[in-house]
Amino acid sequence: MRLSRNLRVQKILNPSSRVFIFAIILFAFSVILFIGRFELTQTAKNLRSQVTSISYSISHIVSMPSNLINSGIQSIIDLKEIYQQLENYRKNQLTNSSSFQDIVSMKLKIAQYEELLNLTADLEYDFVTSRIVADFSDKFIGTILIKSNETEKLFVDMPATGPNGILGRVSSVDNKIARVLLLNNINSRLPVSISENAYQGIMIGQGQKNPIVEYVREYKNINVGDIVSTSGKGGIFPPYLVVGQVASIDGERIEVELIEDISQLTHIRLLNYKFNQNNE
Amino acid sequence: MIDLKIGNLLIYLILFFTTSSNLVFSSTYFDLTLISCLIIYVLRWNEANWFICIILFMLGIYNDILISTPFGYTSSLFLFFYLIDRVGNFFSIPSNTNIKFIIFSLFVLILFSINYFTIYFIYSTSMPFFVNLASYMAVILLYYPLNFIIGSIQNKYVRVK
Repeated sequence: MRLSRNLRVQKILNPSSRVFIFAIILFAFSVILFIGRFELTQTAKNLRSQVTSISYSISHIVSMPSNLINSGIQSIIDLKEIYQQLENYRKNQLTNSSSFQDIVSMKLKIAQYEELLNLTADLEYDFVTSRIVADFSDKFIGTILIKSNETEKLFVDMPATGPNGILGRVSSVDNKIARVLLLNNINSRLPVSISENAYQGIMIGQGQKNPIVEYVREYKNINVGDIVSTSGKGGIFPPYLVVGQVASIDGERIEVELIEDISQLTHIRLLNYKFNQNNE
Repeated sequence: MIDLKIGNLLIYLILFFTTSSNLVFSSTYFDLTLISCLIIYVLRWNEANWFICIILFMLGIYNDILISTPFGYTSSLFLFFYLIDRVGNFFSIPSNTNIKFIIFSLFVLILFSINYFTIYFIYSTSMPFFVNLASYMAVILLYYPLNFIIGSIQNKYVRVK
């Protein structure tokens, strides 16, 4: 009896079993960290920004040779694109000049109307350009990492845009790296206006290419192809920035095709827009 | 005792490289976190080396930091697949690769269901089913090729030794 108990104790205390028990304890600890939402604490945020900066610096050095080749290839592609654009420009020169005149006259008209309506000028903001260093847009936690210099004063909740429209907002900033939460991230919420009639709704990221708009009262009046833009509600994003177009309508579920394709961008704009400061 | 033999260091480096590749590689159909889980499951670990658990835990936290998943998510995945492998070893399953493959596929599909339903119920978001399933299926399809490659590397290592 005693012998069998000793054997059992020896079996539990052998190195292999001890490692197994240790692994179970670490697994339980990991699950507790996950369920306890440790990432919301300040320590976790600091740890995240420090480690991301270090790993970015290391990967930047390691990937230097391939970056050189990539930049060479990219330069050739860019040259080809410039050549094609020049050709297109030559062909459409006449049309472009007339549409440019239209835009200028439209802008002047809007300025006159705003003056007549005595609207407050809350849409003046500048921007900084930043390079994309890592792209996680394919995942349901769609984010990108961008380069941030100490001279560029980036801040959390800064709206991020591409050349055509809005992309997301800055969610964390460090000395070297900043993270941008994209519109397709499942945590993303953006107040939007749909069509010229400005039907209000909230755009919610779906972890896939196209987000959806919910809480639209007049959803029956919305059609496929209507333009979706920021409404400016909430004070984080300026109003009238193009988000995309209505791609499909399934009952109250309005799917939006984003105007910007993050995979095609190398740089983004960060708007220096602070609603509260402008109002002060 | 900390086991830092060249063979083990190479394994840690492969896992570190796969995890770090998240910074430069992103695809809907190939999830590097799941591929790391597969590598962990396929590798033949030294059973008495507790250092492996700590390395897996730290690599998990590192992966969470890089791709901004909640802390503990990847560590629990890595350790979970390590534990399944260990339990399999206890029941002498490694002698039959097919059974090991079925167990792996089963747990990967369970993991997919948990992920999918958690996002559906907690975030009230219905993600496209087949697009999301693709990365899980890809990792299942990669099982035999990766098992063959890692198996031949580890067998060679044993023969030379």
